[in-house]
Amino acid sequence: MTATVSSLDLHRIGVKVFARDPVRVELEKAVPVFHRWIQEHRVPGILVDVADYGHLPESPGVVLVSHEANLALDRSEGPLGLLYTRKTTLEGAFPDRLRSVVRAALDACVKLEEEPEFAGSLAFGAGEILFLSNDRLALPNSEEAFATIRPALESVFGALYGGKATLTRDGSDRRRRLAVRVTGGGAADLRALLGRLS
Amino acid sequence: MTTWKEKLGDRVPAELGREIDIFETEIQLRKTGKIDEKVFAETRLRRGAYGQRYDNGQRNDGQRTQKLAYPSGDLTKGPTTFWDAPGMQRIKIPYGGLNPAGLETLAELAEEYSDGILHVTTRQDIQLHYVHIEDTPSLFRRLAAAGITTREACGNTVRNVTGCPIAGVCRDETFDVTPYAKACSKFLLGHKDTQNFGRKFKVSFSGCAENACALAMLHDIGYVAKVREGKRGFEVYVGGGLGSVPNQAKLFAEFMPEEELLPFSQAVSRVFARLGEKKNRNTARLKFVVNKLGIEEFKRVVLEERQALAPEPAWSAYLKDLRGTDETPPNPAKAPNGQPRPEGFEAWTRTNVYRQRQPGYAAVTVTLPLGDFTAPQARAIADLARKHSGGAVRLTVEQNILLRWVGEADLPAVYGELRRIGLGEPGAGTIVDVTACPGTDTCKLGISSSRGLAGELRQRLAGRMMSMDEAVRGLKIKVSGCFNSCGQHHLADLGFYGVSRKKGNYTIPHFQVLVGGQFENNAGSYGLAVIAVPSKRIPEVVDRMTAAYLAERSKGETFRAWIKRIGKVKVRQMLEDLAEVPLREVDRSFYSDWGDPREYSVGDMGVGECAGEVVSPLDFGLAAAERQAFEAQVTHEAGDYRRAAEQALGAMLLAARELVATQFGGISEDRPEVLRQFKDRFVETKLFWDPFAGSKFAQYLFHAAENPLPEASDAVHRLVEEAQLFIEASHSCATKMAEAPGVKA
Repeated sequence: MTATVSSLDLHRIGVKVFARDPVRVELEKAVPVFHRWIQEHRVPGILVDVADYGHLPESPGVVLVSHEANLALDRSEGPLGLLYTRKTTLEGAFPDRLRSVVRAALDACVKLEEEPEFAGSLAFGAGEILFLSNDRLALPNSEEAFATIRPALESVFGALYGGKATLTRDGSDRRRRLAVRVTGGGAADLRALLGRLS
Repeated sequence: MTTWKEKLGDRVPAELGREIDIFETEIQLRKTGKIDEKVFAETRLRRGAYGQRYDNGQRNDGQRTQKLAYPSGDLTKGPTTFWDAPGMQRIKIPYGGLNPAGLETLAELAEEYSDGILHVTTRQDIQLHYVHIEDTPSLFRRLAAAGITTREACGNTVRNVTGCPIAGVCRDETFDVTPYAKACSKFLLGHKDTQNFGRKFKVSFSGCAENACALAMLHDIGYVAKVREGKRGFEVYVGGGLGSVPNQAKLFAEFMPEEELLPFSQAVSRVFARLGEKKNRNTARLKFVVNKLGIEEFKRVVLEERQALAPEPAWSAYLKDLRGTDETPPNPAKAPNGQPRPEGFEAWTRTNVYRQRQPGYAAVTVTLPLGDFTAPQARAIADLARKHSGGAVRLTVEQNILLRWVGEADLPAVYGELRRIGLGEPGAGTIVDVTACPGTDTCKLGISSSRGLAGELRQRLAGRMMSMDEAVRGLKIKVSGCFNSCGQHHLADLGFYGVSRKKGNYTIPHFQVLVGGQFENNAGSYGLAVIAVPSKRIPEVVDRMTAAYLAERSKGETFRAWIKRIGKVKVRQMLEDLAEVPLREVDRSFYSDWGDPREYSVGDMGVGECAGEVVSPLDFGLAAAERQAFEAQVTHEAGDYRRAAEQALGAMLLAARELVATQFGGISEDRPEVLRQFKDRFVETKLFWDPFAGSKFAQYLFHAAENPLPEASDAVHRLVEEAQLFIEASHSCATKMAEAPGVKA
């Protein structure tokens, strides 16, 4: 049996924000950017290394590895986008943890858009977010698990999108991680979404 | 909160479960300081949990060294290895044999505990990187439930037993070695006689002597299938190894009957445990025992040990079920029948499809760039294996995946699916299929970016592979990030291993270029270093060498034969101009490595305007020593072993003298004085000291100077290799002195 949301022990949460025009993005440019982020501590956490998997077409792409999370310009979970995957435990109940991860992902998106290497080529769409459970023990890829977490996702993403979040589970392959596509109406941009989380 | 232990229950075999429980307890004990860090380090290594670059709590970001302030503070999981630092998890896959369920489990673990990537090693293991030590018990349990153990994947143990990936379907093999490799792996795993080694121990199984698949000559024990008078057995080699100084295995027995396989392996293990070095890890491999005793005495000791062994049921139990590892094809063999062939299919078939000895079936090599594949790709390969190969999957020492028993009529469909998942590239086993160890990407010992270079070469060569002359297309390139040979650079037509060189105040990534290696004949010969070239010029080395080969070869002449004919002096001359490093002001790209924009440096440096132009007397001195070491190679090739040995020793003495002279002023040329000064001032003070190898390289000099020089070809070959490594260590020492405040270089 899957846990109820209140007892859900899911910390390894992934959130992906997709690039508006993936074809225009030169993935390899993320390598010097992420190295610079380590030099300048541009994102929170203990930043350990940069891993480049650009030689694999549908891969995590370029990953900024930190103690707390992997932050990737990712091509493994759908089209190119920024995937933030939490590794260490977070404070609070599940909705608080989810908000924290969404905030971290959106914050990284904003910073990445501002990097000169990506000027004019990388912009993230604010209308769609992919939620991932990267812990098959806490939350497997099943309808039952989706039903368990659905209210919490609707609550958090509903607030983010002004009450207009639509949730779709990709159930095509049960071996994959639980993945829920969240779409929000309206024309909010990343910064507006971030504002709603603060 | 449910745990993996509870969820998996009795799906974890009881014995493995107990071991994992113990390890979990040891983690808790280490966290409370109740186990010494060295003991815990060996404990985790024996379970495949390895260290990884930057696990000493600091990282140079290209501008300065940053502390990595992990939350567990000073808690360590080994000497200078911080608890929270991400590590590498090695997972043993005996003879590279995997099934779809195993692949799916590995995919899950890569996603949840690593960075989503599975990496195939040159010893048919899988490695995951960036794994936290506290995730390992769950990781182990999930693997155990899939029939996979990480036990003894690292540490001073019997490492993964390797085997021909095409065993059982090979057209040339004497017989299928799979059941023997499996039995040997199982028998030695956790055996009481394999628990007290001073160093690692590697075993391989080849189905034939001519083709290279399992590389018998570079193993502690290499078994090559043989039949005599209708009876199965093995030709047996012992004491091989790569590492910093490679050693060709020596023939132990021309024929050993199959029933002797396990008791013999046990007897060698016992001799190794008893006579192998325990304190100095640099001389602790079996090859040192064999060399010290001589092969005849070694044979005597092992056979005596064998006679004293009490019989174990396992010795022969598996022989009753040798067909137990046979695979069943899922589909009947069918001819292609003229079905449409997708674009690129023909080229892919030429390099990636091996016609099995069973008519109508083929083994398909899935080319993995740099040995990597993703979790979704792993699941897709599992699907392919179920549908087309009866679940039979093997990992190869060339870092690829092999799907066996694919019906020839199914090849277009398999190719189409591989293309769909991004793994349909041709070029398996060709010059494009570059082998590389992790190098500076993740390895603590890496000096240069082997993966960065391999990726660059792969990209450049792939574009013109189809238009290449077949003789060039068939060459092998192998890259290691340091002298330790994990990329098996000694076996390549063109091998490279990472070194560094100083220019003024800057350190520049380089690779030593090796030629003359041989992958065939079970790693029949090892290449030797010719010249160190800046990393960024290695692609030019490849282009120049292959172009010269095409222009100068005689009819049917192989690359290796061509190298032998023209000689290493000419090869060196051909590449000498490429060894030049432009000033940093002229071209900064030379001062960082492939795929890594950070300035290549191991510390913070103040740089003057003209710093790049300074060439110190030490630079000249070490260059002279390097020349002398190269001359030793050439002399060895000419067959004058005595003189080659003298030159090799002379090269080491010259480098040592230059170091002493630069650091402490004038020194005589008197040999005992040079040795004394070098020992007192560099070895005792640990200035000439490798953080992992300790005084290993200095001992090469002392051993050569204090003992009669060798005269046999292979022993002199080793001495020449040692001289080259001593000079590399001298360069490292010079770099260290230059970068350490208050130490004069």
